[in-house]
Amino acid sequence: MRNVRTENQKNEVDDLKKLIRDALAKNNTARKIEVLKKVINIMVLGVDLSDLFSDVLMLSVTPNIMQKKLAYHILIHYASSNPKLAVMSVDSMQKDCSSDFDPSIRGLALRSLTSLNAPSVLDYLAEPIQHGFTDRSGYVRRTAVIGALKLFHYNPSAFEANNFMEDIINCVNDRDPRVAVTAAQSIIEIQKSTGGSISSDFIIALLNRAGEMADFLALAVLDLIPQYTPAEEEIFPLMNAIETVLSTINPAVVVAGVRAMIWIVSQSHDSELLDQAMHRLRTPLITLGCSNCYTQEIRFSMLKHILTIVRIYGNLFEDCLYYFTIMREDPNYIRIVKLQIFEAVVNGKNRKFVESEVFTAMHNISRPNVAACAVSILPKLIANGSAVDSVFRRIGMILASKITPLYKSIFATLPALIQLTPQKLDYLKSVLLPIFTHIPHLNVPYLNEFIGLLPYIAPVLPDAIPTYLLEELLEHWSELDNETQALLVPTVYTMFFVRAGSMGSVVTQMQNVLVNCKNTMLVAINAHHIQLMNSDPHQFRDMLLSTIAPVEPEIFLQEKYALEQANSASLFDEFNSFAVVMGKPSDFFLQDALSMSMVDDELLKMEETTHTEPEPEQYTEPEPEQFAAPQPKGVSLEDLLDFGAPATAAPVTEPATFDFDVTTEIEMSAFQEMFLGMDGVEDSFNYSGTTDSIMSVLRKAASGTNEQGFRYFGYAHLEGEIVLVYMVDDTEAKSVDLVVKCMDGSKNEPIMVYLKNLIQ
Amino acid sequence: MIIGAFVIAKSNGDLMLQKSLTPDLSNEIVSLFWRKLAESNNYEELPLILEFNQFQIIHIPVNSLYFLVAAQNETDVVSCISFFEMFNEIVKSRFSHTLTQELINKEYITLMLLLDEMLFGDIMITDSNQLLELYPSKESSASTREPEGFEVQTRCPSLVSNSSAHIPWRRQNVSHDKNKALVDVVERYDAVIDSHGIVTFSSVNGNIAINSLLSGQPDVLLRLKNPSCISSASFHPSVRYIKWQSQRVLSFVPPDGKFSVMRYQINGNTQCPISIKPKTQRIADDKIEFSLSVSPNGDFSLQDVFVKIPFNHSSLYLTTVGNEEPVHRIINVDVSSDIGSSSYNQRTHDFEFSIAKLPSNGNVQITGTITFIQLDEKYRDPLDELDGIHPAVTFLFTKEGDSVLKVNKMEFSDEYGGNLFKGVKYKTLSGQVEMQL
Repeated sequence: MRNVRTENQKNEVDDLKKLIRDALAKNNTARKIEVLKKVINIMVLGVDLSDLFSDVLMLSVTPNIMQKKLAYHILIHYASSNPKLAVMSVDSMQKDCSSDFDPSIRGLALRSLTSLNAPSVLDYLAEPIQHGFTDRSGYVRRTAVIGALKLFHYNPSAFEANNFMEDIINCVNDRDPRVAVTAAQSIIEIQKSTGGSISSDFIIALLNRAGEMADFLALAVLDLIPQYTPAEEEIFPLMNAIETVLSTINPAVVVAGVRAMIWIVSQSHDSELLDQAMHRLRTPLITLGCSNCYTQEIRFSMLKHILTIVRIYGNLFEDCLYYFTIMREDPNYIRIVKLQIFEAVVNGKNRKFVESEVFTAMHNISRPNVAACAVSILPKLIANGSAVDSVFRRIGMILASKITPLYKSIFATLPALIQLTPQKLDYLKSVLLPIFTHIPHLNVPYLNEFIGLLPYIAPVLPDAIPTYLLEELLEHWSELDNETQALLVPTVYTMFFVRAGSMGSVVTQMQNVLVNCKNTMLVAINAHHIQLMNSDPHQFRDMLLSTIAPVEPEIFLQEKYALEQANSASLFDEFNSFAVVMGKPSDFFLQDALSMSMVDDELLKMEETTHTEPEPEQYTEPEPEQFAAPQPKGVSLEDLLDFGAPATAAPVTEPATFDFDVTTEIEMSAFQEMFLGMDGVEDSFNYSGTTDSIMSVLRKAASGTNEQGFRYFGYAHLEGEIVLVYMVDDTEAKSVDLVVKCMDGSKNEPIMVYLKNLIQ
Repeated sequence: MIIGAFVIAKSNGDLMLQKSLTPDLSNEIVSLFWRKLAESNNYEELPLILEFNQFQIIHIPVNSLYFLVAAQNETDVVSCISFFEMFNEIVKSRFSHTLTQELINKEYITLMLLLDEMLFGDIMITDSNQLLELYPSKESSASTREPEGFEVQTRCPSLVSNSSAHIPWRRQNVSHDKNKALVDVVERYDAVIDSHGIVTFSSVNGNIAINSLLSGQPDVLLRLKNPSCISSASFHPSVRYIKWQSQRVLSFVPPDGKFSVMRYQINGNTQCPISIKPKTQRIADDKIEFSLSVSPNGDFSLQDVFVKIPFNHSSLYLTTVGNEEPVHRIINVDVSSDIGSSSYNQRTHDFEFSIAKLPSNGNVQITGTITFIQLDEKYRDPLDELDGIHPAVTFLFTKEGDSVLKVNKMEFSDEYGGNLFKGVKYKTLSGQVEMQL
């Protein structure tokens, strides 16, 4: 906290000084405590009271524990930032460390002494810590362990010189479990910096004592287990030991137990063991997620964990979904995660129950977010055999009632519903027509979904309507945001093939709009589309129309949820963490990964001096002229529609160099979304250079470090295409795992080869 | 886990109590949280974990205060939330009062020191025995208290060394003038009834709370009459789980004072204490007549029965985006009841009925008519419209002993002799039955 002092505050210090001396003179303990409280109250406001240090130091000499605590609190506050003051307080604290009087005073003094984070006192810490290890009080011994850990952080060489690691290891077998666990935690903490692994004896000795431990001590032991790889014969004893803690009241202990159990069984070669364990874990998970004995926050966190599990082990909860019944008191966020669980678990057996819950949530429009989530589950219900008429009648009713808060979700869901049941499109015609006769306000939240739905419903709309809608949207091009513009381009091409007779003018209008478009990415996408159309129009048409063609339920279920399942599989490895509750791997939100700046000045400077410009045009992208796009006014639609001989493919030569544009920044969430949605290539290889040289190759800022090595998240444009690069650099082994994902999938391999050559 | 900062802030954004790794972190967290809160129209819509560049923040509202915890690395969320709860519990034990603004203002320094003791990086100390010995309550230190009101001890007589290392939840040398143990069985009933009045889901959430005032180190055995009805249970660390697994008895050395020995859930196989029979009938193209018949089941005696039919949960009134006019699906509701007091709130569109005691031999009839706006015949089925309407009935049990789980007896280790078991108080506090029309 910033220390400030004004003239008035000087007077305040003088007054306090007077009060302290008065209390000292009268030797009244209660008065001394009151004065100290007053000092703290002013101190926390940021007022500099360091002038009172020597007076407070005098007050710290007392057998009264509360007075001592308050005095020490003030001493630590100022001593940490003032080495001279720190030295002044050392003597008093050292004396208290060896007090025979009371273990709480010895513990307090040791804790306070080791909290003086000042270089000037480091030399005074070792001896009291050493004594603390042999104290008869567990409280003091534990404080000594924590003190040694602090010393390790402040001054590793002093820690090593005093051989404190051995003392801490001895404490793992301490008769007081609190000391043992703190020692174990400290060892793990130290090993994070120094390397090394824990032994099985160490873990099993602690686990066997878990029964003696209360709450967070047991939790700390369980947290150690995922850092230990058990031998095959240790797996069952460990599972049995863990199972006893799964029934404790403290939810944190249970979740840590679940995580430990999952870790243990995943180390086994017996593939059925994990399934067995998951069944054993079912009851504690349901209790934590569904019992109203626990707070909403706990239940929500557990439901998110259950969601991750059911996305992988869908049938685990299929026969007990009634536990997840949405209750009246459930807040929106719990309702939504329960619906997501239903979506993951629904099958032919439990469909009726899920239907009832989903329909109920859908109609409760006083909670539009929940209703929207319920709507998004409808395709999966239909794919699992729900009554199609019932689903469509409900959607029709919402649309006919103009329940606009649900439009976004309904328009986003209808494409899948239409693909699954194209025969029902006629049914929706009368409610869709009034909505699709004019473009909505450009600021409505469902504009993108409105545009995305057009190709699917175009067959039942009168000829003039889609043309009119797209023309209107293109007229307002400059008012549309980037995302909407990006959506409009492929939609126009798709509509061109869906309604070939009436869309020519719209395509022409779009080309004219794009002539002046400053968004180079969109221009490139358009050019790419035209290239595809020129090179093989039949293939291009088939490609676009296949995205809106009817699909069989089995294929829908397989494709739609594949990505979600893969994502859950990676989250499963991070069980009991923020990642699961946030629904995305920790790589995407940890501090280490958050620096997404694409340009690091230092790196660019380094590159300017070390990196030679690539040979020009060794890898030749087709010139824009060859795509005939963007076209000026008067583009020949007949040419575009020429389904005759395919145009000559653009010449492609051996790929060698790429000129990345790294001047753009993106949000981490956008990176994640794109990364999960794009196909890429992956490679692992060794390199001979340094981390810096790799960074210069990637031309971007790196994020930071984690336990294994460095991770980089790169984002760049390459001739309008987006390129994503994800790299894990194991600096010790001098090897990297590299993933390249380019919007144009065909460039993945060449870019990978290019980067690999440079890195190696 | 590593907690970067633990902050308690007022609902107006003022920081009240904090502990953080770096000095300005707490202020930064509070301002970031309030920015997110301001951006969100509804607190309920805020994600539990807020994501920022430097850290993630978990937030929990308690008594007009917000508990905020910031973590800079991947952290165990449930532990963070549990730490909030443990802190709250210890405060409650120490001050006999839940954490409020007033309490923080009054006891700021003790709370600050307590928090300082409990949290150090990834090491959390939540051992209530130890903490309460370090920061004893006024009652427990009354003998040494000085007149100014702040407890003053010239010597901490027992400290942590007094907690048994092998039984960390119990202090050693506990002494009471009169040994006794009181048991409370507290249950809450929840159920969902379908449109035919059939219970589709029911759940009893219960808690066996014990107030143990026993000297020395007692070994207690609690036998239940019907343990087989329990679907899932969780226990205090003192309970010997192996004995529960093999004999379905609760064997433990209790902590001193009040604690929860077991929490349990009973699903299915329980009689619903209340019978609700709904009936709906379309009487015209745009009208549905409905009735609810509410009566107690069997011997149950229920009081403070409150029925709420939230018609606003249907598509009764809507806000639309743009220039479109709102369209009402339900245009009128006319509801009444034969006894009790009932009202229909035109603003919130909630129908509410209440009666102090449900007649044991009769039933309450709530009848009404809902008028709908005409829609295209193709999409119209007003009965579907009732999907969104969930009448909910809440009630209190009047009789003690309505609990599903029963305690048989409590036995104590030999040295205690006599009958220390003072009986069980069964409190089935409340119930809620929700209906899907």
